[in-house]
Amino acid sequence: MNSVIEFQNVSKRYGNRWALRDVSFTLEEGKIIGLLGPNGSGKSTIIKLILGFISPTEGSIKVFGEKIGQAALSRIAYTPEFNHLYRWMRVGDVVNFVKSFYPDWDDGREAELREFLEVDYALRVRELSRGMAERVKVLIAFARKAELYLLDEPFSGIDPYSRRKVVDALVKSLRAEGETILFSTHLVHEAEKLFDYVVFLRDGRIVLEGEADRIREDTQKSIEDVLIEISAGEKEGR
Amino acid sequence: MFKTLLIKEFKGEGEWIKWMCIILLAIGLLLRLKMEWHPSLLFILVWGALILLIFYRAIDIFVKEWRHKTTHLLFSLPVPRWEIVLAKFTVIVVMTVLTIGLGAAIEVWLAVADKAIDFRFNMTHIYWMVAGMAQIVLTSSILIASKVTSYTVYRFRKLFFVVLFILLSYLVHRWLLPFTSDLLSQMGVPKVKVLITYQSNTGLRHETVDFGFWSSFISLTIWTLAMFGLSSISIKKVEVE
Repeated sequence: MNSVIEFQNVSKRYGNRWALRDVSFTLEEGKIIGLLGPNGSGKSTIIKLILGFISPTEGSIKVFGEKIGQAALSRIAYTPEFNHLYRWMRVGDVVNFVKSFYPDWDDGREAELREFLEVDYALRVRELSRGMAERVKVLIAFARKAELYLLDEPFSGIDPYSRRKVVDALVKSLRAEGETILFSTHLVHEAEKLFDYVVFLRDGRIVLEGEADRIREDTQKSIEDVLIEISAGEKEGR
Repeated sequence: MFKTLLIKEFKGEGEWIKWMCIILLAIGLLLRLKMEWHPSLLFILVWGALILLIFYRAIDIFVKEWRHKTTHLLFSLPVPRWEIVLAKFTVIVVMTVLTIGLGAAIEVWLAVADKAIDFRFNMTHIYWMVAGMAQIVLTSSILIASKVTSYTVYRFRKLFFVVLFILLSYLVHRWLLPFTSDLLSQMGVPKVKVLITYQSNTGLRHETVDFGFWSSFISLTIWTLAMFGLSSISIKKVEVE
């Protein structure tokens, strides 16, 4: 299998604070990867580094075998944890705006997701609830046939109904082979069944990684319980 | 793709552009109807305020992307970042041309109706208008360049912006601009002697000004492009948090 993302001894420092310390991993194509850890563990930093939003203080990053640039960005679909859509636009304008940049946009998939997620194109972004905004973000990401999907905390602060809709939309959209999803979250319960591979982070370091089934088998615990244990370890300073 | 970015910028600034035009037209109409008011002063005040508004937009056109975190959408698009800068520059230039142009048209309309500033409508007036327009575009581009560059600094970005703006303005207006202007004159770009006629309290006055219109205009354009270059280089280095 080809590697989609390669991190080699990557560290990132903001001022005097290290957000990431000496992180190395390789993620292969066609998998759903959970990037798990408590708040402030470095999950979003990893996603921003992949997108080239920030540069590593140390180490090197390769996406699709090369340094991040326009070519790699055209193969990535990204949704951040907050609403990053233009508030003055109508949902339909947002869809058309994003669509015009990506030749891999699939109109059929868009129509299907629009109906399934119950998205109203006539509404303005500023009128959307948090849950609905999340559904729009998922729609504009998964209406594409991208090779890599980066989802940063897609369940953060949204209602259970929207959360369920988002998970179901993800399951529904995962059809094509070779699509890789990197999914960062600290709310594992809904997404646990989706993961093929998981990376656990704490204090900017990888503390555990591997096939999800293997970890469940080895620890005799669910992924959620392993995460709780790791988070508790952070609080106790272990 | 640049076209899509440009349309997005125009739609995003649409409200401001609309209100600028409405205010100018409203004040023009008001002055046309109210003959007893001192029209020129009032009109110049409103016009000046709108020019300040352009400067505010020049700063805010980037700041709002960070404020609303739409940078995460904009910078994840597969487009070179200089195209993002160019789209924003274009909108500010159009906003300037529209404000000055519409203001000038209203002024001429009022002058023709003999109710406003008694500038004689001639080529000199147009030269000054275009030079003023270029000056506003240059100042806006210095504001944009210093704002974008300030985002490369993790902390103290506000202070960095103010210092850089003052520094760039000083550099361009006091040293680099006259230098380019002189250089262009030496290269044979002619200076023009222009006659300005205007109405003062003591009556009609005439003044002659040596105005290196083309050389000034070309150097303003060169330095605006330099500011665009600085913005484009800076935005590549900017980190999106």
